[in-house]
Amino acid sequence: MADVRLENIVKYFGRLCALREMSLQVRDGEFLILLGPTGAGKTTTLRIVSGLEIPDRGEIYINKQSMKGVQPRDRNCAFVFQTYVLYPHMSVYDNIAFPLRSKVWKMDENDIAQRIDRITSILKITHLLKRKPATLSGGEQQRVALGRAMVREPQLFLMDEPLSNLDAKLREGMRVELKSIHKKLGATFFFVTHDHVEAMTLGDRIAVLNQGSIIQVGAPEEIYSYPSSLFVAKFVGNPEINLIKCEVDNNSLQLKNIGVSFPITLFPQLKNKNLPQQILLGLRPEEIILTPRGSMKGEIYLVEDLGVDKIIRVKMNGMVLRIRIACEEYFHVGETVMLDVDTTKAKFFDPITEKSLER
Amino acid sequence: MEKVKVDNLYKSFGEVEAVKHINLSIEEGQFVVILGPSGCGKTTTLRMIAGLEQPTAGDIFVEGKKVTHLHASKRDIAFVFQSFALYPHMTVYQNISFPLEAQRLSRPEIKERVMNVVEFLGIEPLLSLKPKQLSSGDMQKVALGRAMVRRPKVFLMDEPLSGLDAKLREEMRAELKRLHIEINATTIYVTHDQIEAMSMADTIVVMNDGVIQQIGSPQQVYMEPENIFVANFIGSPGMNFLPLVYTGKNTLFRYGPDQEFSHPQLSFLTQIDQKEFILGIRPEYVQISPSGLMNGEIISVEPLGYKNVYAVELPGGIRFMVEDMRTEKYSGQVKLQINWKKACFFTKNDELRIKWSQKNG
Repeated sequence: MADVRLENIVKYFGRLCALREMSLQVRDGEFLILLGPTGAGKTTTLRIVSGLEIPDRGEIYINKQSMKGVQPRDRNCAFVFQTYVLYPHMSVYDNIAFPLRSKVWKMDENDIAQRIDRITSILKITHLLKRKPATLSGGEQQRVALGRAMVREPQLFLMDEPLSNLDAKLREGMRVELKSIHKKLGATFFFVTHDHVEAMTLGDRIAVLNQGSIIQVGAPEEIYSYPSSLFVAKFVGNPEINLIKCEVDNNSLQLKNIGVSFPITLFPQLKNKNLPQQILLGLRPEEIILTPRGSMKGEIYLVEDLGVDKIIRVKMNGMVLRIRIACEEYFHVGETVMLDVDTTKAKFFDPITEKSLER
Repeated sequence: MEKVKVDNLYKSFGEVEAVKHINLSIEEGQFVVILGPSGCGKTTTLRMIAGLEQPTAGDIFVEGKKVTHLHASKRDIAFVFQSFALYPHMTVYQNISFPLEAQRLSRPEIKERVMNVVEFLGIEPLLSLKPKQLSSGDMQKVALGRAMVRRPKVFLMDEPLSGLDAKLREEMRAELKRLHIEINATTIYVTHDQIEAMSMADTIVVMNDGVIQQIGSPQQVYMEPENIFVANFIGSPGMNFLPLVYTGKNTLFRYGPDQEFSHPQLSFLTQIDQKEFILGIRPEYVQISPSGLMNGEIISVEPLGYKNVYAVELPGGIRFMVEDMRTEKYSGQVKLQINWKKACFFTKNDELRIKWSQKNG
């Protein structure tokens, strides 16, 4: 059992504020992703939980116990890093056994063998036990590093971009592995990444961090479909969300750069809302629909065939929209197309506060 | 006549054969992407075309002229690197005009060419800045500008986007492709990223272990991969594979430890003088459906917001990735349906795809 509570954490490095009044709760047994751009404070957060860094202000609780003054080794958490430091002269077995043979543990070799057997079968590296790290692939090395973290049977895993050094193919496979390892262990995973696809696909919940503050916490679908701010809307999703400047005029929404307007009543999410004069309309690439009966006219600017689907770019007056279409649809550059908006999925933001207007 | 021709190229580094038996024929205006994992020989191939590396055997032709032993600077080829090596003490203008200064063009001519290029790339406002004042995307544009200003016969690019963060890479990918549509310069582009290759290339050259695995359009390498390597490397996730053994009865095939199925689409396999095959099917052509032929258990779901990707374990521990556009989520035991029209079949022994001609005959 391990939950984590961070309360109003403040951390400075010199004059640089890394975390500002940061609060977050990681539930027992969940796979929580801390997502944010470089410099957001993600790694600092993990280091504070592990005790490698002491906050200037704020409280950390693991299992409801304050961690004030508690040494890293007494926090019962395991840290998995981006670069997996294995001992090159030791076999895989000895690398994994190492923490249990240390002075703190001095575990009986039979017990060690039992634990390693169980862990390596979960990690599917039983066949590698006699090998040296240098003879392993990147993915195998990362699994050995995970094994060394798991062998102490900690209840809390702190993972700092552990997949980012693997190549794309391996990363895909390791994502599935990591999820099933999490399920089998039942431990709490607190995982840091800057990769929104990794965050969406791995996490039970995602906490979006920017400039030292938590911006939004929610299930992956929630973060994708109901971003609370422009920052989240733009950071999550691939290709990026389309943002269209609109002006509110009486009961219509005028898309100035495109030259069309829609009655506001088309958008149930704006019902009974007090709207500012300028608003931003956000549409994910799959929320713009190509249809001959569409109300907007554009010209195909670029077609990217990704195999599984296509991303097309359509030029409309002053702007280019990114649209996801099925791979069976064919368009060529220069062609004129008609578009429509999936009104129920449209997102709206206040351009001044950058907050969603739907909350 | 081909713009670039590579004829039976080999390169060894000591004992290691990095590149073997490479033949390429690139037409004027083509955007060719050499794609493969690290260490496959793609960069070595590119460097030999550029003249930065001498081949152990074989020849390279540019516009019909043999350039195999010509110095890099005499080949009229522009090379854009992964790390955009700009001169830090020079302004953007000076960086871009530098190759022309070296060619001793007149000042007005240099200015005209530089302005043409910067207008095209949309970087006029940056002309008086130094590289360290630029974003990484802008630096990459300046590096491109420096290559474009020479009006070379061929552009060679070695993972030019890999130093950029994901969002910027997407944008630059689109801009590079758009640039190619507009100036139509012959380009050879090296990457390990299959999405870059799929989205930008006219022709993809897939390499592995120093050998070309397949040359084809993005559609061809995606839907008709020559072998298991290409089928797995292209696509994210790659193709699913199911080993099949012919039972000798009608069109009945065995998979996993003790599962069997039969389908008319499998009948051509019974004509082939082998018993073991591998069925290959892309994740978007497998469906979770009560009428499915195969039993499986969902072991994880990857929600992407607009679709879900399931990892499904079949009997015998075979794992299938399944893409599903429906909003409802599935879990536990499911049945999987294969879209047979989109399936590929490979022979077990050499992992090569069985071609249609073989299918029909």
